[in-house]
Amino acid sequence: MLKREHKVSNISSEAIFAIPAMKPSRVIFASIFCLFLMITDIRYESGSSIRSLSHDVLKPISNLIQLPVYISQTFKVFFSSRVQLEQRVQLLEEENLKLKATNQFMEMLSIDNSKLNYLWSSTNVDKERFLISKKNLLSPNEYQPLLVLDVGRRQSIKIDNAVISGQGLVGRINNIGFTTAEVMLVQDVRSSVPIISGETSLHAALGGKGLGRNGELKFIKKTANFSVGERIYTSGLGKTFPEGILVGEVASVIDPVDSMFLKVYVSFYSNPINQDYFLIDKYE
Amino acid sequence: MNRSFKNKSWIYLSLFLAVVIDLYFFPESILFWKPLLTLLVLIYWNMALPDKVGIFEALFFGLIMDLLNGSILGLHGILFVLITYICQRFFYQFRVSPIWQQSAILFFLFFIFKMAFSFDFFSSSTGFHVSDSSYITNAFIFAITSSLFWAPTFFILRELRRRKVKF
Repeated sequence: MLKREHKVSNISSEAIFAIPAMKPSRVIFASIFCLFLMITDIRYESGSSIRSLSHDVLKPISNLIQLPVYISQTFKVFFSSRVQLEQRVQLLEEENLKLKATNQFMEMLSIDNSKLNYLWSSTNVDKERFLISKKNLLSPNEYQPLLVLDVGRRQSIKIDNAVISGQGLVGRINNIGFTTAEVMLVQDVRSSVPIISGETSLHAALGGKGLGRNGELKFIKKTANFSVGERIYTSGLGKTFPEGILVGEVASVIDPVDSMFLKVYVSFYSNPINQDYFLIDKYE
Repeated sequence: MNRSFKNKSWIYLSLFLAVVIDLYFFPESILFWKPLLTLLVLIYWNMALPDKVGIFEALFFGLIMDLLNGSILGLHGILFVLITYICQRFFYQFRVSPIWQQSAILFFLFFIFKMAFSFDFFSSSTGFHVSDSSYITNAFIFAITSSLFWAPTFFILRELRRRKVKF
């Protein structure tokens, strides 16, 4: 056979002959099917129930993937040499000494602390209402980031429960599977959080602009006097989020000439990237 | 075991493995730049065995990615179908070109793929997000990392195909 009659594959070094490509009719049919799915998902959120179940299916795999990390850490501790352990003990002893020194300065503060403890107990914060959950997955979708948490079985969490971290508000529960829960982050473009400013006590709705970006307060009149650095808390309006959770701080205030409203950008305190544990507030 | 079934199992296993790697293996510090291995693996099988891997696989794994990534149901699906169609339609040109040229072509495909996710389907704010410069930068880096991953994916899967997948 003459070489010019065919092309030679880089993959298999074999001759390439006419292999029919996908039929365009099938591609069109598949595209129409996908468009139908997209429209139903946008309008009626048809995919949300299947979505949470799909994470349950993949959960054993994610656990399996974490197993080598766990084993390697255990081995590392087990086989660490005596010298290394002695160094570590010395380091800890030094740290302990520093802490003892710091404690001396804390005596005065402890008096105030006891008063604060009294205040804390008087507010009747039910610690049982919080559930600690571990992160399972964070999707790379910039505008609609998806955080999946392992919540275990038979947890009494509900859709719209607030999710918080040490830094502040993370988002709210969007879907619940058998052992996982999906969180709509405050950075999500679909998210809207009723907030109140710390100093000026102004109410507004905070919309997300995507992960890694500042949020924006919606429809702020030009008479409003937000200041840069001012802290933002949840207002509790609409009863989706409990009142008083820290959300972020005002990053910038812009007064556009061609608009009736101010552009107030808020930097979020919480960031789900490289963070493993979250609290679900089972507030109703 | 039926040979055809065994071969198909290897193909599906590699695709499924790519999904798992996409979801769990890459560190979160490179969240927006991590390559989309599922699509790379799909493109490879499409080129290597165009009569065995086609529209059904593209649609199926696209929908799986939609469900797991939280994007609109069908968005990954339609993009996977269209990209695999383009790759199959022009695979005579694509297959015989050197690996760096293939990577360059994939760079453009992945850039367009990422840009499709910038559309504001929920009308949450005015206009499109395409104007967002940081998104374009992220899409650019994503396309670069994905195209850089094409060569290792290509050689690993070619080895797998030569050893295990024999139709």
